[in-house]
Amino acid sequence: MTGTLSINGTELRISLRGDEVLLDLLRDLGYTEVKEGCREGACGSCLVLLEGVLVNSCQVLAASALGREITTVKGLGTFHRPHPVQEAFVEAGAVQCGFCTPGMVLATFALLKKNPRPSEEQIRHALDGNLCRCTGYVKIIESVKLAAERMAPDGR
Amino acid sequence: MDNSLQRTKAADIRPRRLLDSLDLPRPRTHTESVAARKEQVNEVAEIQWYFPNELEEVPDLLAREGVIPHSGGTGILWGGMTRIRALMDVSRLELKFCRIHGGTIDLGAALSYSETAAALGESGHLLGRSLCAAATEPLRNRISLGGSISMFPYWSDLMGPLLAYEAELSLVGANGGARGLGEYLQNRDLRQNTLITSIRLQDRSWQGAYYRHTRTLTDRPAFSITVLLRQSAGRIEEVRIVVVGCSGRYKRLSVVEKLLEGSEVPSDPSELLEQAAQQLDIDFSARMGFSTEYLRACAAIELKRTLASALGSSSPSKPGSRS
Repeated sequence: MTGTLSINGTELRISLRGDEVLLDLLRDLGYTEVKEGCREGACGSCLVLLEGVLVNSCQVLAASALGREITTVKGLGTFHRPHPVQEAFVEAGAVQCGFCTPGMVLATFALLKKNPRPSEEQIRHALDGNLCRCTGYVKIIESVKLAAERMAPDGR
Repeated sequence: MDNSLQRTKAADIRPRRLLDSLDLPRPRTHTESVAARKEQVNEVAEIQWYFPNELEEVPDLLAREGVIPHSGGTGILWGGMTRIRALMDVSRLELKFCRIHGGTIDLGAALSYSETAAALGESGHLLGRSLCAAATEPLRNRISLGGSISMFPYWSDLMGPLLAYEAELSLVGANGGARGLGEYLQNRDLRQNTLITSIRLQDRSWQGAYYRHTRTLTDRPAFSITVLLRQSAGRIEEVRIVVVGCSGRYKRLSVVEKLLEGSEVPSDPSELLEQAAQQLDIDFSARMGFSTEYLRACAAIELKRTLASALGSSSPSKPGSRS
């Protein structure tokens, strides 16, 4: 089947299989910032925003996303103009091997969009779908708080 | 000194050159990826997808052989795609609503757990609290009410509260009309060629508590207990207790309910709760490393605690445990 997808603001016409998951489609199209981890919806490495909603792309049938807007972590900011969430992750030292980072950044972005001043419990709840095997989460929670502080004044 | 030679040497140790020297297959360009995907698509038998825009189109689509409704959840993927021939995406139908009027709550079947919890108030309504504790944030954003009811996994955080509220379903298709949730679950024929469009709860003023038995916050519960009760003048007027995850998938504890209804609630209800736990007649299959005996013992203890929590009725919501 064929259809269109808007990925990070770029409209693409694509062919896909009916049983294909969004993760495979995105990676095949070159969006390798969407990481493949458990393929069971447990690790959060493959998170993307589908119409602004945080989802595990390994648990989304690609056909059901046709005509919709998808944002990957590269859609938030660039190397030279990073998003405040991305900056906060770097500054707080929340990145070690970096494999979980795209998912963590998107989960943080989705949280702060809904709730600009989350409590620590709310942060932990919002990031409950993201596993990190390096950091022990302390720095990640700190970076979410830092990003919340930075984003609060201008509401960016 | 020959500067050009130095530059050549520096270039040689760039990672790209090192990778080239390993003779690895060159990564595909975007254009090549798209071309390769087109070839792949032509080789594989297609699953037929339907995208109805109006509810009127649904019965005809469901009447076709092998068409399964899909509202975005994960159940179809978990069940495996090999036997699926056709899927009907219901996301374009207007099945995402929450209408609260006169003690009745109508929930659209395509609402996700997160959307339902947000609509009901995450820390207020018992159903909102149980859904907040389910799975993980990105999964809560996808799992839908309708899909969850029709799949009904034993770890469901939705079904206990719905059964306790004695929810009613609106169905479209071969078995269209309004049906009680209990009837829908017991008669499997009702699921054939039928789509759940909405769920209705009669929301009187209940005191409630919900418990999920897990090892970690994001575990699937081995079982869950839902308690709804109403008190009047120091007596339990009405109580509903549902255990999900036991043998037979769920059980309404009518013997315990009968024992409690009409009972006076003393300031220290521990004796009453002990009697209730002794009346617990329930079986489990061993799962997640828990033996049947262990699960039964845990259920008896947690029944007492959940009842106590419902009687106190002010315990804070805490995902992964009691709410």
